[in-house]
Amino acid sequence: MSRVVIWLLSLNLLFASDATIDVKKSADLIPSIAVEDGSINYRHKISKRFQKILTSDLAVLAQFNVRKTYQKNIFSSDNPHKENEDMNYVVRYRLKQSNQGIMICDYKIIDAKKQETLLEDHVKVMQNDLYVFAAHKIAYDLNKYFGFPDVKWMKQRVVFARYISPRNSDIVISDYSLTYQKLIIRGGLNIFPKWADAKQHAFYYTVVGEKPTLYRYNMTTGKHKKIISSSGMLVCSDVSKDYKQLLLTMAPDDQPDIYLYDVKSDDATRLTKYQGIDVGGQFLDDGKRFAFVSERLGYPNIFAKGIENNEVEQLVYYGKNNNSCSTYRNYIVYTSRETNNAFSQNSFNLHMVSTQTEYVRHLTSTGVNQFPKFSDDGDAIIFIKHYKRQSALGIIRLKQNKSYLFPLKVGKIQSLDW
Amino acid sequence: MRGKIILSTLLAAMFLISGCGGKEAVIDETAEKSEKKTDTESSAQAGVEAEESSMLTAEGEIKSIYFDFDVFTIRGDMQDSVEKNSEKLNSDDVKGYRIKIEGNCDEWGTDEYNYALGLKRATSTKKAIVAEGVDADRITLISFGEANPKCSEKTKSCWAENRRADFKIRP
Repeated sequence: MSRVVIWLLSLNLLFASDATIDVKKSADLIPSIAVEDGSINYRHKISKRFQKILTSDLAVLAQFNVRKTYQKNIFSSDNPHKENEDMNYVVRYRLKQSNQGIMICDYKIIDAKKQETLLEDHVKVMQNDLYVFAAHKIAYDLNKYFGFPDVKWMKQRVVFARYISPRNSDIVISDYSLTYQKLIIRGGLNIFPKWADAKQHAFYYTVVGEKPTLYRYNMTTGKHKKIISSSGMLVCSDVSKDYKQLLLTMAPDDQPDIYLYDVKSDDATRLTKYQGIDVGGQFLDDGKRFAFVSERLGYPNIFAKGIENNEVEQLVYYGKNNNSCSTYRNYIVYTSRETNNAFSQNSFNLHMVSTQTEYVRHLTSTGVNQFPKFSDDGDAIIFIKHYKRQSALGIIRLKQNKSYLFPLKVGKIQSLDW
Repeated sequence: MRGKIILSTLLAAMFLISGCGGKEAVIDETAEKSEKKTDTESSAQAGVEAEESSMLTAEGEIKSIYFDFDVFTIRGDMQDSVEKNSEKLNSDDVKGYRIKIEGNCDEWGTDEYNYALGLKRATSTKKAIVAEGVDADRITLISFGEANPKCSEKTKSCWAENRRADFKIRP
């Protein structure tokens, strides 16, 4: 037993030292868990679906062997269902409606072997269609209870744009698994949404009309505020951690370059001046530098530059065509064209490098994988995967070495943020 | 817009139903009003329609410029189209109009890079026709990245059709 504990500790140290190293975790070392429905007189279709969502969340945590079978049980009991007696843990929930119309989800975590409750709490949902987020919150709480690495991204919202038809794209708010989706903006070409505040009440997005224009949409007030316009193109590529600065790609002189936009003063400062393509700026080193995509060597690759100085450094030395990136501390995840055949089915894959080492970690191997974005805590990467005619949202758990795909039923994902 | 159309149709239906009950005059009155246009209005309308028609005709005669994969320089085989387009854009019936060049890409690559690539294709096209004598001040550019495909099949020839710069004639 002590050997196992030491081995797990050494793995944690390994994660802390370099996330670019692949780690395989043996499934039989992790505890087992099942989800039971203790709802009474609640719509069975919803309560059964809730079990499926929560089971899926627990699988994404990648810390348990999750039993998917649906079982009902009495909420107040500390005994597992007889089919789940071999489990280490049971999560049991009870959905109910308050007199005020609020959906309440009671839940508890049971040690199935000892038949005792370890944690009991509840989640309130103001609108019934948001019950998906209650399931995610329970998984988040359970993860926190066991002291596993934070998965704050699991309970947050995703904003994405989806192409519907030529020159027509919508902006949609969803949960990380695309189970919940709400159409926010439709009509015309609406692209590149980016969260504008920590509470996810507002987001930036570009409308490509006669002249591309960046707007800030506040979902609580319903107001669209015009931020800036540019001829040619305009994209908000990144928002600083304090939400006070934006990195934009725009082309007031028909030349795509990266600009730093100050939200308070409305000033835009040009950061790159190369005559080819500079695009996709991402804040780096606490906002002192930024990573970006440039074809200044004759093909798209990832570079870095200081906000205050003109020194440009090549960040990536692997890949023939690296055309998007995301950063977290000293880590860079980027998209790379994998083969000389531009149109083969595995032509774009995700890789991760560290500015501290030369090791390249390969994160995907099939399909067309694009637009990676680190979670705020660096725990996971969200990305877009196109395979044949399917468009999906993908999530990679870096430390757990696992990835998950959530297909989009309507349209094609254009870009996303979380 | 669709809502407005449905609403208009419903209003028209209500009038028609009311008309059966003896309010035919309302329908007649509306019809009469729409027909009573002054000569000035009619000629102005005709002028606008003629201009639109002229622009559309010119636009139809101007060819798109096509590009190789991940490239924004003008191909040698596109030079003939560049010259003929420039000739048309400088002709007497078109030279009074503004020109909008729209850059487009195929679906490969990240869309943000594609918007920049589309813009560079539009820029190369602008430089090429300016070199042929078209006034740069008449030209504006926009990129649609991969958002404006001509062809939606998953074939090489289809993707080649989407790597292009289009010309639009504007008043």
